[in-house]
Amino acid sequence: MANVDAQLTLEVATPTGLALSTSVSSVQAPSVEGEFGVLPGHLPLLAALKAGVLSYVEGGERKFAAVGPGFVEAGPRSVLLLTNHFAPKEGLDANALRDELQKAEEAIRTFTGDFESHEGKELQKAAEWARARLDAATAH
Amino acid sequence: MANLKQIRKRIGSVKSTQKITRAMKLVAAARLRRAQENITRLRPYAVKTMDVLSSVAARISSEEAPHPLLEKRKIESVLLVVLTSDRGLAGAFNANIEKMAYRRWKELEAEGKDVKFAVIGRKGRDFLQRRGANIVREITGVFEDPTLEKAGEIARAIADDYVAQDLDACYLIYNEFKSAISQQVVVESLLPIVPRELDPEEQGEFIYEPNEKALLETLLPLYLEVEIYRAVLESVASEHGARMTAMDAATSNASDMIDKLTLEYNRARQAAITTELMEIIGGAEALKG
Repeated sequence: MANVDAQLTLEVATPTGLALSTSVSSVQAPSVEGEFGVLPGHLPLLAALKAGVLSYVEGGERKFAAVGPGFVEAGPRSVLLLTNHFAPKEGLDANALRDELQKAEEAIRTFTGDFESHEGKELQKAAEWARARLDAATAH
Repeated sequence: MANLKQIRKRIGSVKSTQKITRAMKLVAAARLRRAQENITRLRPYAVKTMDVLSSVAARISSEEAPHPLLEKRKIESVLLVVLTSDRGLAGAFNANIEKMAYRRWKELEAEGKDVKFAVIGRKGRDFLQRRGANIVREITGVFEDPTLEKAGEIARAIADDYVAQDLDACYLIYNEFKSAISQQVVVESLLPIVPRELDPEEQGEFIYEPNEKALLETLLPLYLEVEIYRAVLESVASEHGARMTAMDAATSNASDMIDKLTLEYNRARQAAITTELMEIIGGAEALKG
């Protein structure tokens, strides 16, 4: 266990700017192989992210945010997320997202094309992103 | 008096032209600010993507077969991606790019290479079409609202052609944004992707999840996407900068012209009054006779 005072710098870089840059004591992120946690002193890690819920403890308070697919680079003192989407829990509306997810899933059900095609992948991505935000909105 | 009337009309038309150029200048200045912000926002993401890519690629290149997008082949077919604007009235913005694209084209042709073009922007397309270039892809209307998704479509198409060996190298030709008053034409190699050399201390021993190869699969297309997106944003900012400068010059030229015409008008008016006076005095003198 790392010492309690140790902190991690958490940064989230998206194409529209640095979405988050803060000091945290722990981070949990959704990698393609499952959820993983980072505490100060973590070994260097580079992992692919999938859409899901990012959670971190900032000033003793647990916070949640939805992140899109991307990458995470973790080191002993810093965690960097590269992702195309980032949406903090505050500002997410669970009811609206439930509708959005339903519509996205409906679109997938009625989709007749190839799921390996670009359109097919886009539909799946849209549904995953809606689900990630819904999960973040309801996380506690 | 026809002359006086003509000058007055001329002044009127120059004034309305000036109103237009001034408005265009203000619009360009506002858009420039937004475009500049977009670039600044993208920069950390773009730099980090390259860093992560380089660190993974450095690890994998020594082992087995690398990814097809990293593969270097004998160059026979070259794709030039030319970024111009959809609209004119931006000074030398498009002409500079066209000149560079044309020179590259002829140079590569002289080396016996097959040259293809992908054009982003109407002006460049028109220019290359007139000269009989082989345009394999044309994209217009990206600049209104550039997004990573649109850049992604272009990137995917180019990557597919590269993997299918329809092209062996790809260059981006675009205006790089230096400042509001200066742009620079750059020719940047896009494919094959050359990862940045890393300092040994930067490299570190990483745990990769899932593994290097799978990471590269997603990183390389992402890198292409980001690079093209960045070039589009640079080009947009440059375009607005160039237009702002050109319209500023046009506005001040119009002012000079109005001053000159006003002077001419006053002279002509004074001359007319003098002639009239001379005629009256002449008449009065004759009557005295």
